[in-house]
Amino acid sequence: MENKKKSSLFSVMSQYRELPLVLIFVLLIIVVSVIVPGFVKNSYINILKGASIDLVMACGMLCVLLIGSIDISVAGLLAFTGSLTGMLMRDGYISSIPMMFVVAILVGAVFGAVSGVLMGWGRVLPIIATLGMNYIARALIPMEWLLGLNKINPTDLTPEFRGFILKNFIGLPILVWIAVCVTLLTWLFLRYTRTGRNIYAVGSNGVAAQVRGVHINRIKLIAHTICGATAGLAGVMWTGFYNAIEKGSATGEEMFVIAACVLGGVAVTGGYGKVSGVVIGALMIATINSAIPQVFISNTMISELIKGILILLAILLNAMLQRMAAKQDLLGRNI
Amino acid sequence: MEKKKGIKSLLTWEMLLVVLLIVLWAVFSLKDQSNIAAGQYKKAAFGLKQLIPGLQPYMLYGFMTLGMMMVLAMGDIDISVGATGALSASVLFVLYGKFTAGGMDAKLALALSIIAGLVTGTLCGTLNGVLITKFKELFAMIITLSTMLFFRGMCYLLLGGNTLVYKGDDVFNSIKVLSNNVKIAGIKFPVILFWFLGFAIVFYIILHHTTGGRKLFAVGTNAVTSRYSGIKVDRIKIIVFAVTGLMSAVTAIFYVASASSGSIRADAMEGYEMYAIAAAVLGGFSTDGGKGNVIGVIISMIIFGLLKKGLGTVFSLVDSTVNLSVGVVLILSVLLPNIVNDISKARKLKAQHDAIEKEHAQA
Amino acid sequence: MPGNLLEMHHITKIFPGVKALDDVHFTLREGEIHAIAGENGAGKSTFIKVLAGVHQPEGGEIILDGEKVVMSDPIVAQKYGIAAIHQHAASYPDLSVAENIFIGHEFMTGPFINWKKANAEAKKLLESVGANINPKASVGSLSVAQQQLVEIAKALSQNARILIMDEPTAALSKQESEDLYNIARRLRDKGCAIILISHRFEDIFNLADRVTVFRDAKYVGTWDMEKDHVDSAMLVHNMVGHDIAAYYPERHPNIGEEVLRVEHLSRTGFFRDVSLSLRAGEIVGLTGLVGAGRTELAETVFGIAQASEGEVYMFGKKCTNSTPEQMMKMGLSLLPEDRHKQGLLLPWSICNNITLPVLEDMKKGAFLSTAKEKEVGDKYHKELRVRAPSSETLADTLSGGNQQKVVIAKQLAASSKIIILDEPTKGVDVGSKAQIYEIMAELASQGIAVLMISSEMPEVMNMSDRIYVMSEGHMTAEFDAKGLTQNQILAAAMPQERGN
Repeated sequence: MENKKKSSLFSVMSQYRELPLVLIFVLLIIVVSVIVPGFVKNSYINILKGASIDLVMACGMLCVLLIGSIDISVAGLLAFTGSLTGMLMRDGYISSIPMMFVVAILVGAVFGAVSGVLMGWGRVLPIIATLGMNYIARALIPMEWLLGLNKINPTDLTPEFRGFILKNFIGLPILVWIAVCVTLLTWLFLRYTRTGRNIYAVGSNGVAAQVRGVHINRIKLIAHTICGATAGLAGVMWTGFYNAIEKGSATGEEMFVIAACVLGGVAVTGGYGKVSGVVIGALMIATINSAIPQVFISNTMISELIKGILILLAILLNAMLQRMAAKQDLLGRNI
Repeated sequence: MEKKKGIKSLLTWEMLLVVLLIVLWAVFSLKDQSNIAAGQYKKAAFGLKQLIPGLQPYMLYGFMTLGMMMVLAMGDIDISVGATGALSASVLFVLYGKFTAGGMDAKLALALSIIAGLVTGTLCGTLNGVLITKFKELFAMIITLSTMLFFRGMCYLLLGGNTLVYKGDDVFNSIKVLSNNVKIAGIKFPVILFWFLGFAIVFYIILHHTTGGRKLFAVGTNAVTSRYSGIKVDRIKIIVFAVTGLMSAVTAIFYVASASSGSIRADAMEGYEMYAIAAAVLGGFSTDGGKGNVIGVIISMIIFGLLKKGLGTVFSLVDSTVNLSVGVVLILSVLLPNIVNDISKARKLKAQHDAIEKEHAQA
Repeated sequence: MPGNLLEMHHITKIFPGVKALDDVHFTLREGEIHAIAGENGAGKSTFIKVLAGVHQPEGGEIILDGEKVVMSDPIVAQKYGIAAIHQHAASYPDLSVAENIFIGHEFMTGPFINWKKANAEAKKLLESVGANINPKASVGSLSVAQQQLVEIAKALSQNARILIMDEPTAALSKQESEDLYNIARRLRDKGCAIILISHRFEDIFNLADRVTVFRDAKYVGTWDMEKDHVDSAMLVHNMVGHDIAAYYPERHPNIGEEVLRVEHLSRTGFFRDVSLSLRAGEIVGLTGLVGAGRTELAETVFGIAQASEGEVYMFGKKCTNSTPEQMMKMGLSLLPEDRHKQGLLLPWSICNNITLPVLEDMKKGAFLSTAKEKEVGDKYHKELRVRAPSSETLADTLSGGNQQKVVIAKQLAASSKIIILDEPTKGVDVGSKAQIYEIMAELASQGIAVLMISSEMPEVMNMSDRIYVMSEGHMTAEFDAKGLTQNQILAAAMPQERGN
């Protein structure tokens, strides 16, 4: 009887690849709550805030991973767009907050589009193209002829902007609401539009999509443009959250974005991945971040290590659970 | 891999790199001359005399690049090389402190901690290799991204947020011989250059003249075919990642030797992986695997050194311009050959097409 | 007499190094089922890809409804009302059944896809082809036969005027095939023209009104099934172009000791309780429908995949779940099904491909000796008559048949005692095919044991000494090849009716 129960759990898992992650996530919260009583109640706002920026970028990354590509320039784009809009505000070109977002999203999208064109029509491999773009984006920030920036300070920003992103709106900071909106839009796009479904199709079987007449290069361009746009949006969110940004901001953030997707069950080979999984992946990383200082008496040095170990273990554990589910699938064939 | 005949043999990637090198040299020299003519400088700022010692900082990435190059040839990637190097250096520093505090002879302590550093790097690489072969669905990219975080975390654990310094320690600072220069024919040659060339020759022989190297390229060209041909794909992968870890540790030792006043921080060598990938790709190794020649990597190291020196001294541009150029060169070095390839392929097909038209016309 | 709906004249298609179609003709009338017959590599697949707009021909014209058209792209072909049931590579394993059926022509509500309607319509379509499949299941989780039914439903959903069926029954049971015949006839009676490509003569004789034969990328002829009294002997003669007797080499089997024994071998989800034996000097055929588990069995014996139960013995020694390199050292090698992805390193030279399994023997001291490699490469280049300027020629410039010879040379260079050949003549021209048969016969006469996995009935029946048949992961029959009929094999290969 027990055996049967177990096998049905795994067969459900093979249908919903996000399930193992939910289990790991719940386990994590239980463990932390036992060590730190009242953890969820006290920290949920912080967890949501911490997850927001990564989640916005992870939505873009999801589109890119779904076609079997990758973008490791998102953190560089974040720093560039954040610095650019910060400078435009400092020098008085932009004073309205919506304009900040529009400019950042457009600039990010242009960078993403360049990567997409390089990969599609130029057949440059994703990792090389985005690695190069990452270099370029960060190196452009201090260029004398362009931004000539080292750092955007709180005094460079208008007072309205400084408070805006953490302002409460129906119980949650605007920062979190932005992430919620982006997540919903991504879900709507990927689930209910033809272009969104073609993104899945290209990743699942590129040859078949091509035979059906889908322009693969165009899909690549669209996915990377979206990814760039989310990175641009994240740039303004970052500036608003920290009230400062510099050329070295968010170094290595792309790792957490990719990790959130991988944890969320997104297949790195493309074709499979759900927005819901990515949400849980991002929340999980934010939970780890927020829990470590409370569990380990705020030794930041150890926390770096534990963060690394936990993310590595979560990714491996997730992979092993997926495997068990796949094996269950084979057993189910009854041969 | 194949020997092309006649004029085609001149059109190898390595030859193009040599041409690029010469062009860059000419541009920088001309600009240098005009600088002097304009009275900006009294004497030449760009020549062999300045360039060769100027290669020193770039050679540091060279050891890592040799490792990265093998990983790329295999169709994988290793993002953790910078963190591996930092961890090796951290182990070296911390152990040296522990050994000498325990009353060990300083020279012995230094030797032992260097060995420990090399072993650390190799172990990091082996861990990567084992995880990559055991979790094939995650790919080297994801695995090494995660181990990078892990290795970096270890550095923080070992060093704390502090800078570890052995400023007045003569024995420890004897390691600096590795960053010295030797004067030959009036030109200062950095010692590190000879080390790099030495390693590069060894890698050249292994990659291009042994069965192991051939198998490595086979795995990179098509791992499935290699497996069906009886090649131990997993074992080769683990060995390559282990050697890459070792080369990161070698980089770490030279990093320690060239770091000012014998100090280290946990964020040492951040971003080195990018330089290594860029140099290997410019050298002709594609992330697709199966391609590349060590000679190309040697030339590409020199090109990057030249670029840094030339942009810095002759055009007096800041460091981030160099980064910018690395990014652009990286993309162009992949994009341009693709475009050339497309054009020649289209031509070939058109020729075939024309031949058939002719055939039809005659019939 | 109904007019010609479609005419295709002088179609020529070139791939780097090969002519895949050479001045081919084809006409299709309204409301007819027109079969295209030909052996592997005759150009059938390329031909329908040209019609479906996937490939652009280098020469020739396509006339639809009396007007010249250009199928510049698959979407254009779809607009002209051409739909295809492709053999492989056409479905999206990660997407749902309903989505696979309607992808490209989804039901939209404003800018959004209406999934509810898609699922309901998919269910209806699937029921009409006699399949009971959950439209929300992902296609990757279905069996090969179910996937085939989804492909058929997909083609039906497009309301096509011209329907191309490429090996539609390759994985279907007898009942499912019958259902498919009925669907095809129903469509024809509604005025839809159907192009049928099939290995199974049964399909052609059951359905087709006319048949066109291709051979070696060339057009052979078109016949009316009834008026011209087409029978299988005549079809085979036209497809092969030789006398069958001269096509297959004469053999005098000299069968020795048992060299390979597989006992009750299972691999979860692929095959169960399979036993077979192989003797020196023997050619054994292993056949069955697509998805029967033949390739998976070969991979498991060779050590690419792990068996979950059972044993493998070679020369009396147990070697279950050895690694491929251990198996090769003991003298077993496998010619894989997909020579591009599994058999060859395409950007490498013939010579370097051949020496890959025996690199350790190519050493001089510690280093690799190019001279030794060249010696081995040249030897096989000549012996197997690989058509290429030299052994330095790159593998991806060769034709399919010559590529296959290079893969065979790899197995020979490794001096194997047992060779498993998985679909050795797939995508190979007739000339090379005869040579491959000759090589197989020659190997057997040298005392090498050959296990040939194949779906081509004529080659299985004419080359083998014994024949094993698999169906749905089980070994269903073992025959002596003498006096065997095709129907006996087919009966064993057909799956038991599936309880849908």
